[in-house]
Amino acid sequence: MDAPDEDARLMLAFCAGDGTAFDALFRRWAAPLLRYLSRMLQDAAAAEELVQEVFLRVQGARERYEPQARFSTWLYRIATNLALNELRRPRRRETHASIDEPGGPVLAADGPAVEAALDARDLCARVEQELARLPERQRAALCLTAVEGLSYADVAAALEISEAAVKALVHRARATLVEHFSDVV
Amino acid sequence: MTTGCSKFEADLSALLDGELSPERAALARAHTDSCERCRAQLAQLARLDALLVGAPAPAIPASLRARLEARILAESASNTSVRGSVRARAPRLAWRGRAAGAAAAVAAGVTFYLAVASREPAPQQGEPSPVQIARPLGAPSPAVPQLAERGTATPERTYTPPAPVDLESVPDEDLDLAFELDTVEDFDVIANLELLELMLEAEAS
Repeated sequence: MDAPDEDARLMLAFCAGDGTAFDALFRRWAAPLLRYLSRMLQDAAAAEELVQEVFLRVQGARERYEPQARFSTWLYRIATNLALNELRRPRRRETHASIDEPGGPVLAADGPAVEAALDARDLCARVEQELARLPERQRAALCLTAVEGLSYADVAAALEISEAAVKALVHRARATLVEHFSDVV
Repeated sequence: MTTGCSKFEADLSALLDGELSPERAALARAHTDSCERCRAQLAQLARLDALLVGAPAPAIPASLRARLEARILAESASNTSVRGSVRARAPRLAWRGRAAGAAAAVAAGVTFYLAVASREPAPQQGEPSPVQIARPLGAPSPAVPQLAERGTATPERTYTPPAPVDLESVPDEDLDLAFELDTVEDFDVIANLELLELMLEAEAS
């Protein structure tokens, strides 16, 4: 890789002993990873655990890291593998609450604004429900592409499948969701 | 839907993602320009994406960074102790019996060594630190020259059992590496073969 991206540069700085670079990576990637993992697992607390696990892997890789692929691809590959492993665990936790955050918007007024907020919240809940019903690889491919903005090539690397397979997964996932959301889209 | 529509069905999603080749994208756009149904479908996919992107992302809990820091410290401490442990891994390992045999051999050697050493004079002041059977992987070999100098000096006779380790806290990479090496259980046994040989030599002489 001729010109490492900013994240790879930070990672290389961390490898060279700069602890602030690790903090910077955490600040840049903790939120997107939590969003992705929350959608994959539909379990906020488990998603938070896996975000920590991803950064533990990053921390553990500091002595052998080489910027061969984009840093974000590498990061999402770790996250995806962890998520798929977690989903296949026989006795996965059933809790769906964050350790720190109760989740959902706080409603402090009434009237049309509240109704609109309730509608929006219901819609968000529906989105999450329907996403959860998708096969896990379709869900991963769609979230990584449509929400996290990864290219098919990066998603293919993260899921360890071909780009053609990514295209098919994303298409199938969208087709399913469009059917379920025909009333709002 | 026309016959041509089915040809472009899967391409609409890729068109939205900007993942079609320029030639194929041009064909797909030409089709959506002329096909109201596919144009509507493309717009529907775009609205779906807006819905997915627009859903609120979970907030990062204030404690997450601190919890990560605590886990990094715990892993670091765990790595240190796991390298000094033989016993804790035993239940998970397929070669447990072989390892147990090797460990028993060392234990027998230790017992024998203690018996030999007990006939020797007490250690003098200023002797090196006690010989420990378990030592961290990669640490320098423990000092055992006293065995070659029977009758002049004796190391203190202590055996410190390794502390138990929670296997769940051991990083996968460490376990993978250990499994590849096929020696995970025997790190300490192997590390102390030298000691065992010296004990046997001491007895033979």
